Amino acid sequence: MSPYLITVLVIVGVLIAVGLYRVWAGPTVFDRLIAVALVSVNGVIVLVVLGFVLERPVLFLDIALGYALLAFLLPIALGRYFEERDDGTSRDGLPSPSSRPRPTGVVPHGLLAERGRREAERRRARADTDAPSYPHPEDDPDDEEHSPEDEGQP
Amino acid sequence: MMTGAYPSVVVRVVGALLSPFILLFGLYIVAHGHYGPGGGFAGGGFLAVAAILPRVTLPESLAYKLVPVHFGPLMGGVGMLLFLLCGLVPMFFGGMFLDYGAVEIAGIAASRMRYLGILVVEIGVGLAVFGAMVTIFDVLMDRSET
Amino acid sequence: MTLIADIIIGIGMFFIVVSTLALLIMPDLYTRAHAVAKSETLGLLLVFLGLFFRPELDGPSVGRLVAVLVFSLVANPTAVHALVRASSRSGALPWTVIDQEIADAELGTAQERYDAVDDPVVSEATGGPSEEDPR
Repeated sequence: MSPYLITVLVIVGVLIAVGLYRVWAGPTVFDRLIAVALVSVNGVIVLVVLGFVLERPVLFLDIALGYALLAFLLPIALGRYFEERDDGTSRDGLPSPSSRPRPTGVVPHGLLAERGRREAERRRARADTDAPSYPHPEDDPDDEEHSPEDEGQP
Repeated sequence: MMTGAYPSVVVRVVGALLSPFILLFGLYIVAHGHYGPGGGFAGGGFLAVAAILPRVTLPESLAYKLVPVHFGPLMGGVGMLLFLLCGLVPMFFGGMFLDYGAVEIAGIAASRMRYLGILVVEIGVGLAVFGAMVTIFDVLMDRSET
Repeated sequence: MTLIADIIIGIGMFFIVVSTLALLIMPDLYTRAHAVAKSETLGLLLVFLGLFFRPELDGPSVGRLVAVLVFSLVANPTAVHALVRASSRSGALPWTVIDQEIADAELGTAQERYDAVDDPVVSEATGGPSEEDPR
């Protein structure tokens, strides 16, 4: 029963409450899910430290490992479930994010501006050499499914 | 829409990497139920996670080859049958339902008999939970054959 | 030995507190996910490393602690990666400055810089023809 570990336990417990506020207030469902991921990591820490406080670490480490395993499946499955469909519908009850109006007056500066300039130069060089252009990676839903010979072409 | 290869290669690799270890941990929880936390139900849940994680992350041809669709109802039925038979065996020796101490086999003490009976019942419950959860997932994904 | 453990756990707790506060006060999803995926994992790693030096640690719990540590180290960033990828595919926008005055002031300099580049991508990004083509 070390007081230091009990202090750690109390602090992480308060942090779980703070993470639950983000679960309650998150504007989109992905904010809530990311907050759930953080809360589950904090829960693993609470379980392990509680095992050390009660001086039975083996028992609580088993529970913590099981909790971590189950908490791994949740964000992957739910993130896949709430991802927007190809026809523009999503299942989070809100209007689909890509159908919301984009903010106007957004100016890229700093790193983003440099990236945009380099991207433009690359595209212009590609257009000069008249190479067949492939679609922008953000517009291609299957950009990870390139066969290796696609990658070799300029 | 939820089954099939995950579009991100990171999740595919990590899912393929971790699911055998989740299966191993589920077997450990089932077999370790009388000493530590867990038991049949929790271990069956972990086994089901080890079967569902490939279905969410890996290609369908591979995932449904690892744990086929008909495997879920089969394992659920086998698990419940194991539980029932293991509970009925002591009644032939004059005991109550699930009263393993009443089983008299030469060379095995009553306490040892209780240990073995609890282990077999835990395995049955684990298989039943595994089959039920995989079947629920397949029905929700419109993959069930019945 | 316990002093080493307490120091390492204290550093780890600093990272955990910082990442949870970042989840609370950061403006958009991507910055929050950055806090959860990186800082939280580092804090968990440090806390568990500190627990290795605690006197309560006994023989059979060493392997389990290593298992929890390695699993969390692999699984937590992967889970957050899957979530952020899904939200990016769903069209969530990163947080940007939308103060119109600042935007107009910066638009001039950016326009000068991009005048030499005649490209639809850049002109859309600077907000030029976005009135005709709002996406």
